[in-house]
Amino acid sequence: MANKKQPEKRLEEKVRNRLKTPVDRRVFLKRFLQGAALLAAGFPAKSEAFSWKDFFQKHYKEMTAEDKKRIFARIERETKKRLGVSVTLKDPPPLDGVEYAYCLNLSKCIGCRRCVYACVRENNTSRDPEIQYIKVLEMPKGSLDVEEGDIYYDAKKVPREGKFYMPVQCHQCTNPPCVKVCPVEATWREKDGIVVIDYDWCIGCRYCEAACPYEARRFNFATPALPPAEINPDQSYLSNRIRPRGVMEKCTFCLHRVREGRYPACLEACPTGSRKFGNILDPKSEVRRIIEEKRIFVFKEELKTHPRFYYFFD
Amino acid sequence: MPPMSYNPLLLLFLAAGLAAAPGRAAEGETWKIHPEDTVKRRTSEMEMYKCSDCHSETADFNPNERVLKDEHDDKRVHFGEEKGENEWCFSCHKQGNYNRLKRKSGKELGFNQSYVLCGACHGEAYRDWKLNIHGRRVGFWNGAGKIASCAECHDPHDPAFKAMKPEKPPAWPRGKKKRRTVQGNGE
Repeated sequence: MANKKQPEKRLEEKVRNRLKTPVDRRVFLKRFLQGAALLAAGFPAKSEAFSWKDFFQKHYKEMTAEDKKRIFARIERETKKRLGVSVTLKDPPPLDGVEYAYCLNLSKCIGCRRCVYACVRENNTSRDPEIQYIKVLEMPKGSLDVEEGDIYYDAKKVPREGKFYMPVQCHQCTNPPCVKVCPVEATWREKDGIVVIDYDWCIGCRYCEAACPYEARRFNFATPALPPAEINPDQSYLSNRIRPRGVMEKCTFCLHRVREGRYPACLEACPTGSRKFGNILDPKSEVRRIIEEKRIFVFKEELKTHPRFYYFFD
Repeated sequence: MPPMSYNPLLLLFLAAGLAAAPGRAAEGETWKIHPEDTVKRRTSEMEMYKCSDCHSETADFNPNERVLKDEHDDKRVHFGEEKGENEWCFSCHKQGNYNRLKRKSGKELGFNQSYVLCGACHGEAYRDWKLNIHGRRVGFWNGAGKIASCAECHDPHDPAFKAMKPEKPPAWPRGKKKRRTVQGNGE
């Protein structure tokens, strides 16, 4: 049977025949109205009734205070409905005269990964598929060649003989390649140095992920799955609120914490005190002192990203 | 113009200078990152504090260096006899007042100021600890913080930082064939 053997040809024939036959006005109207009715019925309120205002939500930088209030309230409602958890969405503005810097002491880091999981808990990242902002590289002593590094190390005890550990997360570059390549300006560098993402503006093209030399950007391939009991309810619009599927996310130096003067979660979790954080513009801060006096190095310095993350040896 | 020695302004300057001079009280204050910083107390963490609960102040123990066999034999002094160095219990603990430590000069020190004693030999680490380059400080980067004292991470009787079990490695990427990692696993 010729038709069975060549299904494409059969389909082609069918389409051609269809295109040739003229459509009756009556038939056309009937079909059109049926389709429209189906469409309208097919918009059951998954979370909320459809709102044109929300569909055309503005970019964060263009939002008025009123817009923000409305949008944050909507997000809080939706989170409550979807996950049964009451969260508060904040929007702390950048502090004046502050630019954050992070220093990490490679002589002290033992690669215990407490920072990785503290970050996951603080920032409400997906557990399945697993998203972790911080990658800890186990490197052999004597070389800073990351080709020799390994993020999947699994040891009984760390630090292992002959190894040193280098955690990598978003460096909040002053010349960020991710910001340059974003086609919709969903990511930008704030006044205090933190590179942020408007999750509702991001289209999920992942150009920024390709552009980042530190592999700091993460993409939500699926709707983030996280146990409601582990959700951190102190959230902020630009940092740790629960992301939808199909958008990028990354370390924000715990923007919701540092803009209120607190330390990032990774720093507080570190048992060896290898992580140091502060205001690089304050001449008396410890980060300034470390940068001025200790043996620091900048990861992938040749790419001129000018990051605000400095590794040092003690 | 009155003579210099009676100039009230000069006297004021002198008084201010004396007050700011480093002394025992100032040791705990002027070096802090933020004036409201607190150093975490050790006495609440120590199992057997107060020492005077067992040891009366009049007891005078054998002041000769030796390896302890009966009580406190778990305390390996950090300049142990294996290293051939010559510190032992009474280098830091005060004979006759066991709730106190002592500095080389004999001056007494509380356990909550033990960092001063550590810093007397480990000057660089002490300097860096005061500047928050060494050690742990949690709380606020522009406000009050809680600083861990030396003994919180480094047991004075066995100070090397202990190795610990790391958390789980990240999940192997889906679709990627699992191979032996660069450095090997499991040891």
